[in-house]
Amino acid sequence: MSSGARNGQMTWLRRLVARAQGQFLTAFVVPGEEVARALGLDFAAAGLDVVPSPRHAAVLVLVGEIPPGLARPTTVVYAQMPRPRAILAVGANAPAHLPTPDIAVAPTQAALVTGVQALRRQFATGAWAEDTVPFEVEADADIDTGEMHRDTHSGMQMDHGTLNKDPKPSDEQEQHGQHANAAPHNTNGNDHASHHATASDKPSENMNHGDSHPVAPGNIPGDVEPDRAHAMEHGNHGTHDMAMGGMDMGMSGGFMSMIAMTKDVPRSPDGLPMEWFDAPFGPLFAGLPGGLALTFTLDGDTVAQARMNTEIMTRHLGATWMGPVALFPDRLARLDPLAPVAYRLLAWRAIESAAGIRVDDETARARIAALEHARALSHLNWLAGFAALLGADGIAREAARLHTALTHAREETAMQCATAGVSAFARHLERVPLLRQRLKGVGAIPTADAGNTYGPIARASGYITDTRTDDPHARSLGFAPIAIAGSGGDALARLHVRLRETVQSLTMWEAARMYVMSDPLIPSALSGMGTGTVETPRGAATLHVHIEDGAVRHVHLDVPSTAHAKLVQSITLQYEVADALLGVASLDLSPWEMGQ
Amino acid sequence: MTVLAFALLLAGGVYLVAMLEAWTTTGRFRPLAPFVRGFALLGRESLVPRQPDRLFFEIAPMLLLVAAVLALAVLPIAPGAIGVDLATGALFVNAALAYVMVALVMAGWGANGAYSMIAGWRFLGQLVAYSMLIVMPITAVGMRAASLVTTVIVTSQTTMWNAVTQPLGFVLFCLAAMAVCFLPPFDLPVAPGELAGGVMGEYTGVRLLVMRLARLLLVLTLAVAITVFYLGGWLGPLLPPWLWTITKTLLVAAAMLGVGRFVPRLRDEHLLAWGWKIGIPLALVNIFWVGITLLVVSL
Repeated sequence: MSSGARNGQMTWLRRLVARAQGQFLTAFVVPGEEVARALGLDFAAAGLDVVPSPRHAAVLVLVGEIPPGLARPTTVVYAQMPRPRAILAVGANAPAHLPTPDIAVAPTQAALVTGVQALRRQFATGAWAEDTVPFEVEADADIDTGEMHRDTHSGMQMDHGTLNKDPKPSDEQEQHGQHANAAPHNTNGNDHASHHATASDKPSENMNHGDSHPVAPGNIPGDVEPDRAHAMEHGNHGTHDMAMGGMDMGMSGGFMSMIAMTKDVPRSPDGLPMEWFDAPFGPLFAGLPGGLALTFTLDGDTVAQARMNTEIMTRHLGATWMGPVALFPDRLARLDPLAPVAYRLLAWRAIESAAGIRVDDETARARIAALEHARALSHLNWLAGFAALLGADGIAREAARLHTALTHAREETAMQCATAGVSAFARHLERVPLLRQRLKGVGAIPTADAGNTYGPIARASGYITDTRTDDPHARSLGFAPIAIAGSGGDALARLHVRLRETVQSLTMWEAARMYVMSDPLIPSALSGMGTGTVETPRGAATLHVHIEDGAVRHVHLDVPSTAHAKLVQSITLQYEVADALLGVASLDLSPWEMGQ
Repeated sequence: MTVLAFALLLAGGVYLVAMLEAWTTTGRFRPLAPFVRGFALLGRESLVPRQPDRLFFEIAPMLLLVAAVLALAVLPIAPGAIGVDLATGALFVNAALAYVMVALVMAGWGANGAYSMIAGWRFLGQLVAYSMLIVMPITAVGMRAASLVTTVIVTSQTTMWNAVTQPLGFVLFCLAAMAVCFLPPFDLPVAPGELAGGVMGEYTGVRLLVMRLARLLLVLTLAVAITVFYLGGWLGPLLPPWLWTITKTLLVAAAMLGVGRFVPRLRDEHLLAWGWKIGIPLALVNIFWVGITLLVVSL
């Protein structure tokens, strides 16, 4: 924990506190809890208490693949966490610029439990250390550490010398005392180093750092300042088309009349002039899927503008798809950790269409069983996150519990038990008081846009668009399209559609899970064009592949989330911020799909 | 000596409420959990966000704590066991609770973050919604006791609890009490999913500990207030009076903490609309009803 410990000696009191910290581990999950659930991990059972703010977290948990675009936000989150802190990598690559994870384990529940136990020991023994290393968020992610690092330091020292107030020694806790003499690369290992070490994880006393320049999210000013630096977690008051002037959060004195203050403020439709400010809700925002980089410009608490960066999760997977056909399904499945089963099936279907292979009935049904099981899990996963955003903690926990039970059910009785539990839960949700009032009209999709939607979103608007409708096997297993008409396509309708689909999917899974899937026989020297369509949990995905001599040459993939991302504007503008967030969450966007 | 006893009582009460809170959220009953959490927070860095309004940021947790303690000080635990026996005790509870809003707005503003600021202002709206529903039921309680002295309010319930004679006022006061403590579904200013902790989102370490402690104390205070105003305070057979108060208080606190877990958070707009369009008329009906019963039945 060299970069996560607090500086100081282990006294007996600190030892006691450190043991308590080991017992009570709060965690901030990157990219998000939904990825962990999709991998079948249960943090609560492992003893990690997931919290929505990095300020309240002791452990940064990295789950699964972290796309390069998330490296910087993750670094900032780490810098925002108070010490002592640790990094736990669960089947994850360590993003650039982050210290090496303190514990790295495989993405299985058993390994996670072991990892958490090791973390407890680390906290108990290493919460305070005398060889701590300061941690800085690099101004530019491309700059390598090393020499530049030192330059940054000297730069910071100058800033501190000229701009900062003298830190009061009594206020040691907020000072950078714990970094004292710490940086091995810091050439002047004298006392000065102590509070110069960082503007990094210590936002504290840097009162005078140039805050007057507006900060667009994702566009970080040169100095190394995590909080301001990224507003991704903690919205700053980066201005929107206006000078901060006297509105700078009461920091500057002087009186301005309301009229003078709001003179140049953009006019809101409700005629009530307020300060507009940008507040980022993502990419690492606990209420939305991890990687969804949403930024609202807020007018009071109303959304005046909404922007979404769909590029942040880009991993340039397209290049990796080219190559031997046999490897293609697994490579495509990597696209979306939230729906790997659907994408693997999609690849099989496209390849089989290119090869002109017709799968036998048993395999077709076994595939439907796998897909429907994945759909039910995906919907429950969504519900767990959505209920957490709603503030219904009990519903969120129950959804997550059922998700875990359904994921790990191997024996027939356990499966039946989980299925029955889901049905009962779905019925219960229909009767939850205030849910209807809360969601009615939230995130309603304008009729003009509803035609361009897929999956549950289209069906919640009354459109029966489901590619399973044409599948005789699905029909024979009890499939019937579920659509809700006349509801206005709001978040409530989407909740109901997903709940009913979950129950139906599990019924189909029950009917088909005894079938055994045989591996697709792909000719090694295959050439041709193929198209496949799969009704993923988020809607129809279509894949065109061009195969030459057993190698994938060209791929064109249409995913539902890309189309749904365009709805974000119309369902957020002029909504209150909580309603806007619920609207976006009810779309069940997958940032992974969007970044393809 | 009394101060020490009061402090011990506070500490014990907060501990029990903390345990109840952990139990309602995790479903597990762990007696040591509050201590472990407290110690863990004590040893964590207490960061100050960038460009804070330092005065507001530092004062807010303390003010929240003080508001809760002040309100608790005028509520009796047993005959004679009361911090300050004010002639206007019932009114004072309401006055002290007004500072909860001030503390939260200060915390939201002081931290200089968008989430916390929105959360702080939200609570101002929430106060507008609930404050009349604190005062008006207390009015009816005071009518029956013909006094605002909290001990007299308890003894006025010797024949029948106020919860029975004024069911409407009881329900309204309980809901308003939950709104004061910003417990789910009224947790608009903390809103874990929406605003990443809201007003508490930027607090860490000792400051966060004080903030959480203050919130628990607030829950305790409101639970005692409900007990004193509606559930006959220390009145009860067999058991010693103080034990009755504690038992009732803990039951009320458990109900307050647990009831909102399966219900979605209210929209601020609904909260205001329902508070004024439904709550206040009902509170008036309650006052009218109590007036009638006092005239006719004289319970």
